[in-house]
Amino acid sequence: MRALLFLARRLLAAAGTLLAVSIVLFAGSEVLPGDAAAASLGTNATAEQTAAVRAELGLDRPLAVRYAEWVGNAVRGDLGDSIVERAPVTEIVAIPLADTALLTVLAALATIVLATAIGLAAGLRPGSRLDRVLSSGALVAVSVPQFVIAGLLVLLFSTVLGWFPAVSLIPAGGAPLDRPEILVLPVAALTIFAAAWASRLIRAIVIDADTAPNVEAARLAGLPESVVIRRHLLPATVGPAAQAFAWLASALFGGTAVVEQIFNYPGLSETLVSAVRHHDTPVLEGVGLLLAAIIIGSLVVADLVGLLANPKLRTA
Amino acid sequence: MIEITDLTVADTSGRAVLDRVSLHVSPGERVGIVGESGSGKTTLATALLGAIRPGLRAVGGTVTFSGTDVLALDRRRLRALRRESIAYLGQDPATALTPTLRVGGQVAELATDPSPESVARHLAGVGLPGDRAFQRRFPHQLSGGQQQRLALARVLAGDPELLILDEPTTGLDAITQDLVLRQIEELAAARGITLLFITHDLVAAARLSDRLVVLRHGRVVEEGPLAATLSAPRHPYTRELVAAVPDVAEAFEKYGHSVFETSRAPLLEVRALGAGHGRGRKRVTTAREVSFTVERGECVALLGESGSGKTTIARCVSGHHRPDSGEVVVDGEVLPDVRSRTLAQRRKVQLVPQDSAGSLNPRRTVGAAISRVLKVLQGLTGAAAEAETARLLALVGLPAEMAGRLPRQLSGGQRQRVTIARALAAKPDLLVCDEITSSLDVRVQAGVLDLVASLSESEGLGVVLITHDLGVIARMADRVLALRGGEVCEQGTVHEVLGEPRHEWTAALVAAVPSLRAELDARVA
Repeated sequence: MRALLFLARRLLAAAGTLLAVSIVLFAGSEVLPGDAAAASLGTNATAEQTAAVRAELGLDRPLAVRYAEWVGNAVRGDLGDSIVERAPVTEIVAIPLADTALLTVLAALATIVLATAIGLAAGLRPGSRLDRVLSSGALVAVSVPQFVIAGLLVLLFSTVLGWFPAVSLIPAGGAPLDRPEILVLPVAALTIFAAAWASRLIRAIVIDADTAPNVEAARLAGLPESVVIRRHLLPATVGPAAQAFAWLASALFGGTAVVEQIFNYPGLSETLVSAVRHHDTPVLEGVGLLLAAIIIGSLVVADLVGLLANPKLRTA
Repeated sequence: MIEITDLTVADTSGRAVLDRVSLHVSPGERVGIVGESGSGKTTLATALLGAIRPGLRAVGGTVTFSGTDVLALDRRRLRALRRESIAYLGQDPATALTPTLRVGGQVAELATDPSPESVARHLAGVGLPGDRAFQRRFPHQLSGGQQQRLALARVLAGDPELLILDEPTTGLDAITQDLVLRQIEELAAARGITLLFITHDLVAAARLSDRLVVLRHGRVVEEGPLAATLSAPRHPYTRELVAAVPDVAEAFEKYGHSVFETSRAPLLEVRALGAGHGRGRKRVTTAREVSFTVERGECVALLGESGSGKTTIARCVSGHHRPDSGEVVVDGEVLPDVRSRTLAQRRKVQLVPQDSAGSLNPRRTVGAAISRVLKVLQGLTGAAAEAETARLLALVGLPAEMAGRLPRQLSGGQRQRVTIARALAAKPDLLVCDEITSSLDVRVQAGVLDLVASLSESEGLGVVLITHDLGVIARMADRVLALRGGEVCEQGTVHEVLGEPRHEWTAALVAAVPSLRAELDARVA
């Protein structure tokens, strides 16, 4: 009951946040120099021609009116039409978004497993040789730019070993899942960075939980180490770890932009680059709103996990 | 049963935390180990469990339990020893309860027989209901007292032969402390459990032990039967310890007679103060219609449990909390919150906060912390400020070279004294002291209280003293306000409130207060 109430309140707050994001997005794309009318006509257009196209696209109406119309439609699932392709944004974006999401979800799963394992191994014996090796490795991995990691992966696994393709070639009309081997290197490039980053957070969370008086008491009571960890230590780490992983959503989506370009992967990155070039504001705004919704959504999920993992919040 | 011979534990720099400590405990005995913070008590206790804190190392001596060498056991045997033979209850036992584990599970995981019936018996053994509904509860759904008992039931579930108690009552109010000690006493007697009671509190030790071992700087300085050790201590340190114990009855007889006439122009007048925390529907009122006065040279104590609103009231007086209603009047002036006070108004009222570590900037030296006050509120700089800083440090019993130290290089008691020196640097008229002695050892505590009392007498310093310790009140206060749930439930002179309490809570508190003399008298009789 309390969890439901919490969820309702949290969703309401998330909707408010999303609305704020939509205002920033709309205002932001509005202040960019030039507009779609000018961009679609090229440099030789006369002022009359530009004005005519602007009128046709509805760009001559006041800002507030256009924003209200956009948000109203977005709530009903209509993100407007692309100016360049003259097709609904949702249609244009659907497939690249699904491909990018595939990359992100795989990388997120790999990150959660890897970061939890590394964070636990390092955090349970801070200062040990294993911890020093893992922690400095993680530090190196977060310090090296992602395109360098991707480049090294290509060099090793594609050029030298020839195990995986360096570029994501997909037959026309196909999907990345038709050729799963093309996913390996992009996912690895994303995971190495994110797992290194998250494992440092998990390590700190584990160290914090390990010195809690209840964990010390459980050890002094003679419980086996596996029980101490599973029953007394881990529950306290679930909430904070969920928060750490929720922030991954934004880091991973950010990372895909670079990784997709390097591997020539058919995701959102390509769609966004071309939309920026052609000043296709409906596409930019639509994608921005979708990504914001996904990130805010994952934070809500993290809050809910934290709530369910804490009996004090769950039952009181 | 326990045989410790010449145990020496040293830190990485080679300094001995325990120095050739020997201890012999026979089955069924109750031994109290008394010492101040830093004396090595806890290191000794956990060494018995084969646990030596990281950064420390046993460099010599042996620890045997029923003939087995504890320090030489492998992990599996050590676990069995902890599980089956030795139970350990640490400071603030409620924090030993994992919040995600239900009551039943807390006990079952350590019980020899984990069935619900057996768990129910263990719970009943400490006076808790054992029914299914209770076993399904989480620790946070229990009262503070129930949590204490659950922690006890938990460690006793494995039917231990030896129970090590490491300061289990520190920080508890007198009523709860009395309950916990009585419970342990009865259980240990009924089950024939050997007790090792580690504490800095001589009164509690007197209650629960037959033999005392006094530990100082890692060495045993005195050892002997309880009554003999306390009534005729041989070592000067033990004598000092015994003399420093705040005894309510004694202090009451000695100091409890001062009578302050309420004048027309008191130093502090709090009028119908109301205050709370939180916003909107979550707003909790922590003080309601609280009124009192403090005269020059008078000490007024606010007595109450945690949550009674005493700290909120103190912070309203010092201007760190904005009251909802009512007024704080100092020297006839209504004072706003601290940011709106003039320098002269700020100088008059100084707060000594409870958390001394949190109130000192970790990157500034002690000297810098004090001289900043001297500069802002007294206009002192250079050599004059330096001399005054040294004088203030000496006043609170700290050597002048402490001025160059950072807060983390000081002990808790030293930090507390620095915050007092810092407050005194302002030459205040009114000092608001929030539980300033609760983290101090008895000897240091006595010194700090004497200091404040003498300033109050010689310079007419008014004091608002916040405490839950009746011993401190009997020593210091002229008048007492007893607070329950944000309201004044009783007020009067110390003589009235401690001598003839009218409110049932005050009466229960006074009745539960431990007294070293009374404990000893009971033992001898």
